[in-house]
Amino acid sequence: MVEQISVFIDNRPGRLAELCNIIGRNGVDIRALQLVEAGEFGLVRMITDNNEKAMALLKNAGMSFRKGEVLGVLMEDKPGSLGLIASILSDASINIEYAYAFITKIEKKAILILKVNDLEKAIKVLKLKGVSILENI
Amino acid sequence: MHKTVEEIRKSQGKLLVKNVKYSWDNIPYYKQKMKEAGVKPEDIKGLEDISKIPFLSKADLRHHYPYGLIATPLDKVVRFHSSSGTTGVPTVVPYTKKDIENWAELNKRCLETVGATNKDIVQVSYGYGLFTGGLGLHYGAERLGAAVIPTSSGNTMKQIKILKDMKTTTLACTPSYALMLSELMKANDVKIETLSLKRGVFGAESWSENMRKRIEKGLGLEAFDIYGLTELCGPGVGIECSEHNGLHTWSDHFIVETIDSEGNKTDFDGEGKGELVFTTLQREAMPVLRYRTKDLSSVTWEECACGLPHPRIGRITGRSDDMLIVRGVNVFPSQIEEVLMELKGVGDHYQIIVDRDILDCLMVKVEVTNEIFSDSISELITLENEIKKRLFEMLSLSVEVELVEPGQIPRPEGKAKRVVDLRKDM
Ligand SMILES: [Zn+2]
Repeated sequence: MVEQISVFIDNRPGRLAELCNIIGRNGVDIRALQLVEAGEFGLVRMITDNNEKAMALLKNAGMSFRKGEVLGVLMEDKPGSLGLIASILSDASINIEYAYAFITKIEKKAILILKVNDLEKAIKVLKLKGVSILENI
Repeated sequence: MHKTVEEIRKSQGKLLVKNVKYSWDNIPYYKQKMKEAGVKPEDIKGLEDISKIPFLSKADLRHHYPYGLIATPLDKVVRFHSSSGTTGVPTVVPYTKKDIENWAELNKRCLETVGATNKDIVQVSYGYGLFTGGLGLHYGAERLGAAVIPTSSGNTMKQIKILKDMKTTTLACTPSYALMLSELMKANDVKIETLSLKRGVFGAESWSENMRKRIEKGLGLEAFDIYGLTELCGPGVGIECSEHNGLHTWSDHFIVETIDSEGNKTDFDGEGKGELVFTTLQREAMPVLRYRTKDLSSVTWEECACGLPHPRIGRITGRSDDMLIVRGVNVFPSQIEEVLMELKGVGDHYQIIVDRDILDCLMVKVEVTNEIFSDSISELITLENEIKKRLFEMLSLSVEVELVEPGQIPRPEGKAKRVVDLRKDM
């Protein structure tokens, strides 16, 4: 399981950059990030190398945010990898609420972040199929 | 023995007769107005004749800026206050030494009514200065013998420290500022158990019952509404008692009436609802006769369980000049606040924006607090729709709702700027 921070932001030009600055300027590295827009507002989901510090910085900036747990999966950076994981989960009747991926420093590997409706079960079935689950990123 | 309503109204009548004569003799403009209305002081024999006296409006006061309506020579004046002139020209209000004493007495009574004594520590977080809030409560609390901490408004973190360290028992400020204090306390993990607050006296803005609940919970106190207008003296005109069922207005200092939009009297024998109209009974430097406040409320002389014989006004439901007409529908900002405050986590900070595209459009910006923030877009959209739906049920008008980041709406330290009407710029 991986800790993720979700932040509420106004959907206006430059706001995402400002958010990244709030965190990045203070020495916290954003490892993965996803922006979801809904009209006037948006949600930023992110994984950092220092969530406690990131949250303190967000609090200081007066932003609304929430910490949550998501699934981090290490997969091959090649076509079909994502489909394979999705089918393992759907075979076990686990719903994926959202997912986003990013490439890593490890060669030919990508990290997939998944929000599923049954975290425990997802970990179990993926482990059974030999998929490596990340504890942190 | 308490005086009966009849007795009180009779003595109000006597003071009125005296005051009309005093105004006629000392304020040329009042004399002129009464002459134009065909009324002479001798026509006013008691309270029943009050409707013969012409109304006084804010515009009348403004036209005589700054010294035009002073009834005494300037050397008798010891203080000026002024109302915030949101429309340009401010209203200047003079006080004699006696006026200041009376004003302090009224605020002392207000504090007594909410249960404060000389043992209390009163933090006055209203602004000090031309605005009447700070000095009004300050003098009242001192007259009561309480210990006053004159913090004025602003520097909120320091105010929280003072609340805690100095064991303030009574807080006086605007309701928006009270809410801001509670919000900052929460954000900084200051527990209400560390405070000694018992009560708060909040005024200078209209506020809803839901806002009251939030302030009471957020600060751990009992919240009382206090009423006042700079034109009448400032705070201290009326105060809620422990019944929280209207605000007692001091009958030996003010006559309160209600009128309908045509200016017909609706109080006492009528339904008692409408715009509040005040007549001062003891002011020396600037008495006002039938001053139209534009505050919409009600008046009742019904006996109150607390025993105070003074008539009560209802809480202010809006201002006649606050009313927005959007696509032909009357909208009071207080209605919108009522809706927002019902939803948990919503409504401490909101702004109403009216604009005109082809039609008028009404938009409400609501800050997304940590409390309502969700990691799910669909939940946020559901919330947005829920607010829209409830506003529609209240106003019969479709309203745009925009969720915004915390801090996007200006934090008021004095009076809240809740409404932005962009149509006026067109
Ligand atoms: Zn009462």
